[in-house]
Amino acid sequence: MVIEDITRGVIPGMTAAKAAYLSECAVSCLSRQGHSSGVQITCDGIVNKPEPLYWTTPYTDQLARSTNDLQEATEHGAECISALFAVEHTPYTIVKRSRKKTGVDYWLGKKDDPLFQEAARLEISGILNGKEEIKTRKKLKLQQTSQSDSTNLPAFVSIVEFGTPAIDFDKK
Amino acid sequence: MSIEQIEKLHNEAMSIADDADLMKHHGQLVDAIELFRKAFALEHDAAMAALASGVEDLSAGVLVKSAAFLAYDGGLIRESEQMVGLALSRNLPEEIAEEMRDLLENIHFARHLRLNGITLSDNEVQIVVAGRGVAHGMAREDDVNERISTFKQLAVRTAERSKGRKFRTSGQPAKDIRDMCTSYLSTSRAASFAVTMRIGEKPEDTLGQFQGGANALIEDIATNLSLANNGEVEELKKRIKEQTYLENFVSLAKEFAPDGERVNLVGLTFRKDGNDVPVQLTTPKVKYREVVSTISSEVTEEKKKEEHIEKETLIGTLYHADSKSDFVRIQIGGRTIKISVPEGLAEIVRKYFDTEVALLVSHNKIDDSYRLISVDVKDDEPQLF
Repeated sequence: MVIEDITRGVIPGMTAAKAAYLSECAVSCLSRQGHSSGVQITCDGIVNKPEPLYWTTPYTDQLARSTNDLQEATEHGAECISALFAVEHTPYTIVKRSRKKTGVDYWLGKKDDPLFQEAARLEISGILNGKEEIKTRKKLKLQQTSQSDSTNLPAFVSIVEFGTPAIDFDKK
Repeated sequence: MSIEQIEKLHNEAMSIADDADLMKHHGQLVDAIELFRKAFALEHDAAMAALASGVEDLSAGVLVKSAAFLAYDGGLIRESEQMVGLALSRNLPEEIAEEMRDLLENIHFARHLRLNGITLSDNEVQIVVAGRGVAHGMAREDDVNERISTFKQLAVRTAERSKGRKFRTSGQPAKDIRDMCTSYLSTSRAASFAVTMRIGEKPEDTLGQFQGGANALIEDIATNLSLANNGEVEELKKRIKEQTYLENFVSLAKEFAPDGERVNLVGLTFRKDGNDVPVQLTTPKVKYREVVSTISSEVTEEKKKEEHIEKETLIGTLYHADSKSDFVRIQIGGRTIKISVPEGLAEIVRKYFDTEVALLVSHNKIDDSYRLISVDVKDDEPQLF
């Protein structure tokens, strides 16, 4: 996967500036964890083999300053990696976005789905450093599903951890 | 309007909201609000058209939900409330209905933070808690008292730090600090549940570096709580330079934060330059693990490679291991692990003794030693994500 590919219209209706910002957040989180372009990202869930992750954006002081809110950078960096992963390694793509409390709600589906009718929600979670947290987060997501009733939305879960780096992308 | 036209409107709204997000990120808040309002207008039209076209509830509901959040981000509280009402009147999936209820609480909370006829002095702060476990004017005692007690601890530690005192690891605060931080409470008010807390005898009492007295001390605490709530670690590190005070502050901020279940929102209102300043804290306490962990890793990062340190979560019953709280013990089944406690966390960890907890620790694989990073009640864990 190439991080800057997100600026090439992967996400419907996303401006180039916003896509560039998401890619910068991903580069910043990976660089802060000491990784360089070409690092292998461990994959789990619906894909189970590592993939190389490339980028060309240099990690400069300016980039570090503009992404110094680590919580925000981690969430946005995870959005970038999850969107690229969905497009490149699954039968799904991001078909829609909507707004939610913490910003953007992503929806996966087939390209010709009208509005949100056939879409499944993509729940993205970012961890800056802590591989041990991935399993806990996934387990809790699945527990939440089992507690709910038949009105629940179909959903995918994507948990991105930048320390390893790793992604666990799975159906709920 | 055709589905294609609705989609076009919706995509335009999302593009404008993207620009608004970036402006907000760059601190251009006024411009961001204007763009959120433009995005709302488009999303509102898309949602209304979807409802009129008779598309299925999910599609229309998602658009109405999206419009509700855009209105809220644009400060259009009444319009946001109307969208929430409309969304909840539809047959929506439970998760979206729940999001709408949470947004409604946010809308109500903004109303509660207004003082409604109460006048604060410069050395007073209004503390408000709201959420599913808080009825109008009635709250669980622990949910209120523990936060009042935590705010007092924050005041004491902030005053000690401002006076350049070495971090106190045991005993009571010095008399001058105790005098400075004497606190008073008003009767409670229904809003959802609000009290006024007064710090110090008089507004003009000087408190260390705080030339403005208690008012500046309260402002310092509120600003730092807001930074911790937003995960702005770098800015927080600039404001609290000494590591022990920083660890202590973030751990106290975690205690003060909403639990995400009974209490969804904690608010402060204080006076600045003659105006009331509201601060909303909405990040649930378990989400603070990321901030606590980042700050703690500043200490362990340099040792990480040579000492093979890894972060782990331990779940079990917590006990004290010595009288000074330098160490605690956790019992996991038949196994007991001894864990060292950083100075800044000693006063926080005590309240969790004899409780089932989830500890975030750093584990040194070479000498098999453990150091505490963060402590949560075990039952709080599922609310994390």
